[in-house]
Amino acid sequence: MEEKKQLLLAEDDELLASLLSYRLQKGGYEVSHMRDGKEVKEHLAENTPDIIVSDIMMPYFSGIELIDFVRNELGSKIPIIIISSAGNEENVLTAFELGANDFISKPVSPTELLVRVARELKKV
Amino acid sequence: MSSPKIHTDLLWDLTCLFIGLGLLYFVLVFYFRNKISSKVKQVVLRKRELSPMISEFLFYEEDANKEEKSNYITLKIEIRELLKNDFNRKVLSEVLLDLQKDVSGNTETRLFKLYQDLGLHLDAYEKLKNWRWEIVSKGISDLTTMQVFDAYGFIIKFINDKRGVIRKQSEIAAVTLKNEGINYFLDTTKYKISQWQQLKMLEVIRNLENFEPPRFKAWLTSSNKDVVLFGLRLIKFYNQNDANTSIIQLIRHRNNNIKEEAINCIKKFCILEAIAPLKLVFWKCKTDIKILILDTIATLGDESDIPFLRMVEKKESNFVITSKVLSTINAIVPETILPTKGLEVVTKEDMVLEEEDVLVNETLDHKKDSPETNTLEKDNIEELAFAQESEIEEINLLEPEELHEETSTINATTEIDFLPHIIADNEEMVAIFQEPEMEEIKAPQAEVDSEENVTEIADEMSGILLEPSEFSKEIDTVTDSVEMDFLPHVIADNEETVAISQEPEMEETKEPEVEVDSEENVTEIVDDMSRILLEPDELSKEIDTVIDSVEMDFLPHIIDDNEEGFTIPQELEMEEIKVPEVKVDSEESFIEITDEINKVLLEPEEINFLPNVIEDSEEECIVIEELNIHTGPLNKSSINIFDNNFFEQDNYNKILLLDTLEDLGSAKELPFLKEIIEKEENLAIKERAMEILNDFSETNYSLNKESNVLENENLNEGNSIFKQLFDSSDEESKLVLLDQILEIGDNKEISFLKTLLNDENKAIRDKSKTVKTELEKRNQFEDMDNGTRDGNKEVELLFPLTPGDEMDFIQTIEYKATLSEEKTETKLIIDKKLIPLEFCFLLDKLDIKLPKPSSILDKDFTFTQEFYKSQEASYNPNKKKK
Repeated sequence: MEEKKQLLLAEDDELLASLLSYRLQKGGYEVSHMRDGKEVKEHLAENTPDIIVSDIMMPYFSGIELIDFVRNELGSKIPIIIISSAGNEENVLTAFELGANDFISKPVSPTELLVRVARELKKV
Repeated sequence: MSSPKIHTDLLWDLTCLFIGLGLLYFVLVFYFRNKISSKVKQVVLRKRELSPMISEFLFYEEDANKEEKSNYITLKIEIRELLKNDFNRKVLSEVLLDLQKDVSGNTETRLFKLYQDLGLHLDAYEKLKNWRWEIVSKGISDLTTMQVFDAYGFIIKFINDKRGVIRKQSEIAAVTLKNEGINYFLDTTKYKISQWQQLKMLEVIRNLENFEPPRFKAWLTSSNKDVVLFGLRLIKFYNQNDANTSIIQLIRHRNNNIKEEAINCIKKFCILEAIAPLKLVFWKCKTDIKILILDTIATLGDESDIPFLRMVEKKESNFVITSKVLSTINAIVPETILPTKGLEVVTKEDMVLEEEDVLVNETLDHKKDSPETNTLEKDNIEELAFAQESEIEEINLLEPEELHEETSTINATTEIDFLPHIIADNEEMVAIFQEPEMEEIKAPQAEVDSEENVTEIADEMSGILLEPSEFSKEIDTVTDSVEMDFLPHVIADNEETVAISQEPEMEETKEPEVEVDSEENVTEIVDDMSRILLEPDELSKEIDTVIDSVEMDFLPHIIDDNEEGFTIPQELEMEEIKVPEVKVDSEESFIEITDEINKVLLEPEEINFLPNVIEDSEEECIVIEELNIHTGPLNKSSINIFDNNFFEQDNYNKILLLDTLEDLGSAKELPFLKEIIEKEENLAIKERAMEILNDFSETNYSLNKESNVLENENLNEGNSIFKQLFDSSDEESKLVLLDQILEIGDNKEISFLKTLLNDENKAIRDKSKTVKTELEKRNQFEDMDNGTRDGNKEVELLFPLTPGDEMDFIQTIEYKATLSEEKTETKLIIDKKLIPLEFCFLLDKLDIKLPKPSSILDKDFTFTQEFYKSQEASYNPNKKKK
């Protein structure tokens, strides 16, 4: 049996996170949901997910900082997909500059996210 | 006195009361806090419980396996049980409403469906029945957010609700839930629609799927002005340009917002027919609307709107509007209105100015000795320098060929323009030197850098310039008795900054009977002048003395204008003549020039080669044309040469008139030219008129110089011997007579033949025409031969040489003429390779074939200077007299 890809979902909105987790799990991924940046940092210290899906606006540790942490401090090339609010173009550009692989804007279509995750994992 | 008794029991009672109230307060705070917290916790917990269930419902697929299906059914039963609890229903509603914000696409659609499947919309319907406005509003909002389309009918009844929040919420709901909702809303709404509300509804409409906007022109007739306004905006947004007439009508609406929106529509849809109504309503509009109208005219208007804009510019006092008008005019016709304000006076050619500044500074050093000059301002000096430099520069730009032409013109029409123009201004001291003749005449000018000579004169003159007002009365007295036309005008302006010299009298050149022997003498004269001007007490004595011995024509005209000081120059005639300019960089060169001048004064025909000398001073722009400064002796008679060398003004004007006639005239001027030839005494003018006459007329005229009588057929019109015979003959005889005319007739018959060109008989008409043509050809040939016979052995040219062409002519062509003494015929043999082009044309015109040169009869010759002088003399009769 094929091993499930590990996906780290960093989202402070529990309802949305639950919905996305459910959809991603249903899509065949093993989802680890983290509510804020601290949890993400701690989780990354111990685990290495195959892909990270992160909201930009999070408590303690924003999505931008997460990308910077992953790319510069961890030196990891894990695919990162960011979720941003509509019209937050500046943050999206910054995220791409720091090394984000893709982005999806709210309101999120869970199905679309699933497709994007699959595509990024194929690139690896 | 005894202190009041305090009931300690009461104090204790009060203390206990307040402590109890405090405790109650804190208890209540903690109670409600805990209650709210627990409720939130319950909600969160319930949300956590419900969210996986909701996710299960949202992402359930029909093709799921049995396990999933059984789970789905179990969840359905479970959630039905949960929904029996109001709290759970409320939490579930909140979860779905929150999720709706974060999800899109198919998930969102399923969410809406789940909301209704769970019967949560019924709760929203219940809210609509509530009496509290916020609950009703929440119910409408929930139904709208979860897109319960069936709720449309329940919601639209709130459109005209008295409560604003419910009304606005229902308006949004009506537009959102049904595509036709906007129609209903616009039809029924009675209340004001706020700008914000319009924007929100517009945003909703934009995002509606499959929305087909109605023709919003239908609501332009609404009694609700906000509906009309919103309709106009929707028309503009959806580019519905089928309401032009209504929109044009609405520019007359009393409401400014509607008017403004209508104008915006007009501008967007380019409704050209609206321009006229816009002009009509313009005057009654407010400033903002006026600007908007002008902006629209700028976009849609054309040149026919310019008069209206000009009128607005004149009538409107509002700066903003007038500015907009100007920009509108420029938008329609670019560059019509050019910037005029805030421009620097001197902006041209900084390099030249810098050089001139150096000059000015040097001159300033000289002028520091004179206290009056200290009043001048540097800016004004720069302006003066610029004015001079511009003149000099313009003249320098002339090509040598142009200079030659100009000098040749001067030979014929030289005037005494060389006297200095003196302008003095005591306060501002800005004398803008405007000497039209300086630009055109091109009298040689010299810029003298070595100022020793000229500065002396200028210094002397500055005394005159700086206090002109003191002498104006004296001068007025003098000018009554003495002719002062000859001298330059001095204009003093104590208030304004511009003084422009006037020299209309310069045209009437008077003969100065002053002996000016040398440069020193000039200085002496200037000294005298300054003394006269500076010492007004002695003026009358001086004048009396001078009048006895000297004509004071050379004195300056001093015009004192204390109020305006701005005088327009009147030197129209002088604008036509140009004088070349020569820069003199050293004193030696200057002396050379003065020598030249002196020479020219003795040989006036060469006067056009002389330079004008310009002396730059700091304050005044003084141009001293040094023709009156010379080193050699100059007596009274030598000054008279000016009269001899130049046309008098009347004659000059006549020549100008004839030149104009030549350029612009036609055969209609023949009678006038003949009259000039008959009545004019001046031979040069007669000849000029003759040339033009010949140009305009087919007949060759000639002038008998001895008798000054015009000789041609026209003057002997009635002398044709054939006329009487012709009148008494029949048709055949007339035709025979015409043949005879051709055989034996001469110039006298041409005019007679001309009369026959209008004969009733076509045969005679045709015959006359043929005979006339042949006769004219023959006569022209004979005339040319006759012309060559005159003047002994000198060839009289068929076309007169202009003085300016003489030298070039000599240098470029070579004539060979053979004079046949036996046949008294002169044959002009011209090497065609060398003759001028116009001569070739003339020969071709006259149908003259040049004979081959005969080596025996050929006689080589060239035109001598004497010949040209004689030619020139014919242009200047005065010189001939001399």
